[in-house]
Amino acid sequence: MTAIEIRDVSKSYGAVQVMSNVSMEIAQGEFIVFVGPSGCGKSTLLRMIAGLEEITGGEIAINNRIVNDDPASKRGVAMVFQSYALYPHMTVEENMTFSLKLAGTKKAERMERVNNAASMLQLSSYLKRRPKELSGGQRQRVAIGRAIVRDAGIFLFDEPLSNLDAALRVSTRVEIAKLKHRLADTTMIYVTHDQTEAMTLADRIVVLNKGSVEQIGTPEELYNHPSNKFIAGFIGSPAMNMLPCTFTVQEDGITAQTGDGANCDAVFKQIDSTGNLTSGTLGVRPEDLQVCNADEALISGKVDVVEYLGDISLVHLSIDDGSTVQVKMVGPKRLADGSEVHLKAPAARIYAFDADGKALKNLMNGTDNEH
Amino acid sequence: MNKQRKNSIVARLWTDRWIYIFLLPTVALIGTFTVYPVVASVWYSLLDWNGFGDPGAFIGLDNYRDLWNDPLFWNSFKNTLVFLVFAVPLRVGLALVLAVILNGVFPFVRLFRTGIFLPVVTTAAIVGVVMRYILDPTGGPINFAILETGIVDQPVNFLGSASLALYSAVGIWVWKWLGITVIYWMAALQTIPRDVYEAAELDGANAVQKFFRVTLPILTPFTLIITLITVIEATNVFDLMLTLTGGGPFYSTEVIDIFVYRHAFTSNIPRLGYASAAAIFFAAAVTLVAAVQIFLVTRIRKWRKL
Repeated sequence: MTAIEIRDVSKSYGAVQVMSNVSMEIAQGEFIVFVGPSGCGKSTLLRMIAGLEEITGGEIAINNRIVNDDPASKRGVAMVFQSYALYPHMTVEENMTFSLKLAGTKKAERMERVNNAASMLQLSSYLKRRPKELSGGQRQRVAIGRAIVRDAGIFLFDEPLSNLDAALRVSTRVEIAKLKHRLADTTMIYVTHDQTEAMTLADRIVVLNKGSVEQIGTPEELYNHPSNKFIAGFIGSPAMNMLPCTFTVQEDGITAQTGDGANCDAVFKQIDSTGNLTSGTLGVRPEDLQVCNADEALISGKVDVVEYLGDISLVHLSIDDGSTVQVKMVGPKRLADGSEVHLKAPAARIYAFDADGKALKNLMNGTDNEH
Repeated sequence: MNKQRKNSIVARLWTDRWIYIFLLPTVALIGTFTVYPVVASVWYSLLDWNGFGDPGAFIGLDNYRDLWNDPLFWNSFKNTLVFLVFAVPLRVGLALVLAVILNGVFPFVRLFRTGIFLPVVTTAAIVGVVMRYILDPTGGPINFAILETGIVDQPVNFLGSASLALYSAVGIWVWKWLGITVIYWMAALQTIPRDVYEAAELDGANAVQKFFRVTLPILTPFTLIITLITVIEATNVFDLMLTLTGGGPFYSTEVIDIFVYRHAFTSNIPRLGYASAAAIFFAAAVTLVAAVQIFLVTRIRKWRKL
């Protein structure tokens, strides 16, 4: 069942258009993450769904009812803000029951719902405290509790972990994932700029860039089959290495040569455009590169820096054309600065993009990525 | 040992001599124009002195005993209290309502903000003089307007009627100083993040509920401070009252400041000692009120953990 439908939504402030023709369908119970660089419009889109921001064009329907002109309180959504947005003068309990009080819910039911939410979020012993007496993580849990108590069908999270420190971010992220399992019917939309949050939490990810949707898909789809160069560079950490290349169109597919003449084993096919294809970009993820002999190398470069991260080492190479390449290697690596390293990647794990950044299909990659 | 300590104090003073040199002008000015008059007033209040010639005889607390038995003193004390009771809530409350409105975004909002602030920068004494003309029952524009529109059929003697004059003065004072309180409130309102209002909106609060259940409680610490400031200002309306009514008619607007001024400078037989006693007595009363208020502020803050 579709919980939220967004049709050709656009947003402009005066003459400045910040969002154009965004469309998507979100099923009930789905966990959707909006991700993108700052200024891409992800928070604006979330706020338009919440009813906190007006829609300039298009339609938003919640449970098959167009809500464009409905006030926020009538949309059946609860929201968790980055800044928590707790009422400073109310206790945890009062914060969580405020909406119920306004709705005229009986005290017994209010208390029952608060106690349920509090035990779910380990807040039971803090109910009489004020936000000021809580840590950042506890405050964010209260904000989530406020949403749970509302019993809203849709939860909106606006960068809820951004104000927490790194350790707390990880543990709260896990809490949110558990919460999603417990509230299986609740549709959740989560905005973040952190792709780790997006990858770990999402059923589907919506990648936004400059006010429009770049790709919608499961984390696996986005990682394995990015539809364009932007997605390829955005999803995955460290980012995919990009190498300029030239293409040769042959009968059985397209082959690619890197700038310094190395041949790529992979064979590609244009997905839907048939335009003239001469030059473009090859993409290889840092985790797919392996050290090899000079004669089979796709990339050769000199070691700049080795970052040792415990389980892996991140090797930064500079290649002849001046660009840099990152390689993930298992375990500690002792590579002298300036020493020459040759790298190759399995043919199935090489990506190619045309001059417009559009992905080509890798014919060596068994799975189908045409969608 | 003692000598050593002395030396060290002298040495420290000497080390920081520049600090003290720079402090000197301020200390001299405050000493001359604030500390000395206060101390002198306390002393004068114990004297039977007209303010001219040699200081008069020391009479202990006789001035205070006279005050206690002076119905006109208690009249002015009462007038000041009535002024406080009406003017402070009116100024603080009205300013909050205006601040909430002016905090919004609508056409000409800056113009309105400026308009409300304008009387603040005009001199109180001039406001007093001008208002006498504006409220004049025989040709003042206000009476002209309310007569023409038929609201009243007799001119209203705003400042000449003993039952009305004090309330007219309250109105003028509130109008004159409203702008500054609006500024305080607007600054206070800026401290409430937009998120909190948005959360309230999602929780289903309407504008009135947002104001009474979110804005007002969050503003409590500011309310206490702004009220305290306004109370203190409302006890200090000498310039406006002197030019507006001079305390009349029939002492009906004689607040403490005017009572003190009358006895010190304008009566046929000036009584500086007596006036000083009244001023000191009233200062003590105001200090007491302020102390109680500050005590309550701290208690409420602690209780609300803000």
